[in-house]
Amino acid sequence: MSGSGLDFLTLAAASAAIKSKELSPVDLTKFALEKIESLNPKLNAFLTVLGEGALERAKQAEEEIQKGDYIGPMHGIPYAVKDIYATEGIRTTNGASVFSENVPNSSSTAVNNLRASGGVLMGKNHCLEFACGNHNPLYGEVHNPWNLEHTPGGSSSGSASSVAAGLVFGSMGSCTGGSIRGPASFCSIVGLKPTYGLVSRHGVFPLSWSIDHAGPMTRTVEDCAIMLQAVAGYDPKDPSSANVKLPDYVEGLKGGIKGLRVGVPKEFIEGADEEVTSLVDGAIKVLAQLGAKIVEVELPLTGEYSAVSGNVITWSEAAQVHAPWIEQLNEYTNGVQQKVLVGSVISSTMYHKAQQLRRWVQDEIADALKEVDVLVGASMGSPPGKIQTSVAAGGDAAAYRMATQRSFTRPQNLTGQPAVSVPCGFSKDGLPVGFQISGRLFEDDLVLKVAHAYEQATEWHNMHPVL
Amino acid sequence: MNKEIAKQLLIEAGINPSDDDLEMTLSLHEALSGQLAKALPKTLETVEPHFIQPTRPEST
Repeated sequence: MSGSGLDFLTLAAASAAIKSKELSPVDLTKFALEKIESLNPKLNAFLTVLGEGALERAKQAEEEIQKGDYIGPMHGIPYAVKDIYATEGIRTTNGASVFSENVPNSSSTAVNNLRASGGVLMGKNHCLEFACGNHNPLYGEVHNPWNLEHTPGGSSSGSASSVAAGLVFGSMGSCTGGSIRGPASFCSIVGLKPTYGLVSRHGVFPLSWSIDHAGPMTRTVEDCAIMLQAVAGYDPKDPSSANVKLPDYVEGLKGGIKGLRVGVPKEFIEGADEEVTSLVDGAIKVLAQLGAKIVEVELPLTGEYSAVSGNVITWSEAAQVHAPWIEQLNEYTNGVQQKVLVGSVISSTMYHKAQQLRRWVQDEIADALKEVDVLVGASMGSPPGKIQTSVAAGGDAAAYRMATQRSFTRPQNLTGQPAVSVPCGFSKDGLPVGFQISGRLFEDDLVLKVAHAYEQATEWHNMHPVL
Repeated sequence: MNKEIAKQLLIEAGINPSDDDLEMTLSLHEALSGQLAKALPKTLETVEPHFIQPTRPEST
C-alpha cells in the first residue's frame, strides 16, 4: 500500500494494514512528512515538525512489528499533539512567545502513553496562545483547510487543521470551554472532550485546573476510540485522574442505538444560525431513523448560567496559573492579557458564586440524564468565520462577547461530562458544521457509540478538503 | 468595583495597569458581575459550590 492510497486513510484502516504487514510504518511516516512539507506552508498547523525523529521512531516500530512484537492499533501510526503538551527534548511553546525557547526535560503523560502504544509523534501543533488567547504573531495564524481564509477555530487550531487536511491520523487537543469540539466542528472532524479525570492532564499547560480536559481529535469516531484507548487511564501525577476500569472503546461502538433515549434541549441549539439549526435538525432525524427515541428536554439554568460560571472560574484560575510569569504579561497577546487582568480582580465571592451556579448546571444536567441517555445539539452556533473576524482573533469586543455569549460546549466542561463533536454537513458556502453528543460521566463509550452510529449513517466523514 | 480598587488589586497581583487596561478590566468585570447578579442570593442559600470532584475511590 502506498502513494495516493494512503491519502485520508482512516487510522483504523492504516492500523489494520500495518498489523497485516501490508503497510510499512516507515512508508506511512514518509508519506505524512511529505504531506506536511507540502501543505503546512498553507495551513501553518505545525510549530515543530519532527523529521528524523519521527522516521527513527517509525523504523523502530517497523522492526518491532517484523519481530512479532505488535503492540496495538496505534503502533506505527503518525500523530501530533497540541503544543501545550510537554515533550521531552522537543520545544514546547504553549503558543506563546514567552515560551519560544522552552524545551521540557520530561513528557506529558498523554505523550508517554501514545509512545508506549507505538505511535509516531510527527510534531507539535500550533494553537491559540496558552490555549485561550490569540494566535501569537510570532507564529502567525492557522488556516482552515476547507477555506484558507477562514479560521479553524480555537484553541486546538493546528490539531484540527492538520487532522482535517490529512497530515496526521490524529492529534491530542485540550478543552476548557470548547477548544476540542469547536475546532472539530469548524474543520469537519471528530473531537472528543472525555469525562473529567479520564485522560491525564499531567504535563499539559493548564488554563483552568478545575475545568481543563485533554482529548483526541481524529477523522472518524472509530479512530477517536482507538486514540482514546491509548491515552485514557489512571495517572497518579494528575490530582484529578480517576481510577476507574476502562471499557474497550472500539468494541463499544458495535450494536445499534435502537431504543436509546436522545434528549434535545432547546438550550443546545437556540441562537444558532439557520443553516446550523437545519443541519442539526437533520442529524437528529437520522438518529430517529436509526431507532432512537427523541425526547425534548429543558435546561434553563444551564442556558442562563453556564457562560458566566465558566468564565468567572476559568479567568480567576487562569490569573493564578499565570502568576509566575506576570512580569512578562506585556509579552502576551491581548486575548490572554484580558483574561489574566479581569481574573486578577475577581473576588472570592464571585468565584464561589460561580461554583454554586456550576452546581446548578451539574445537577440540572444530571437530572436530565436520568430521563434520557444522551443529550444532543449544535457544537458551534455558526460555521467558521473569516480569520480576521473570528472570536479567535481576540480584541476587546471578542473578550466581551466571550464573557456574555452562550456557548453550546461550555456546560460539559463545567460538569465534566463526555462530549463529542461529529461532522453533520456544510453551509451553502461549503463550510463545516458539527453535531454535539454528550452523556453521563464515564459513559464516553456510549457517547462514541451514538456518534459512530450517526457517522456511519451519513457520508460527511468521507468528504475531505481539496488543497 | 471602581477604578481605584481595580488598580490596587492589579498592583497587588504584580501588574502595573495602563488606563486602557483598567477600562477593559472594569468593563469585563461589570459584564460578569451583572450576569452573576441574575442569580439572587436567596436562591443559592442551600447550594454547595461545585469544586473538583473526588474522582478516586480512595479520596471519597
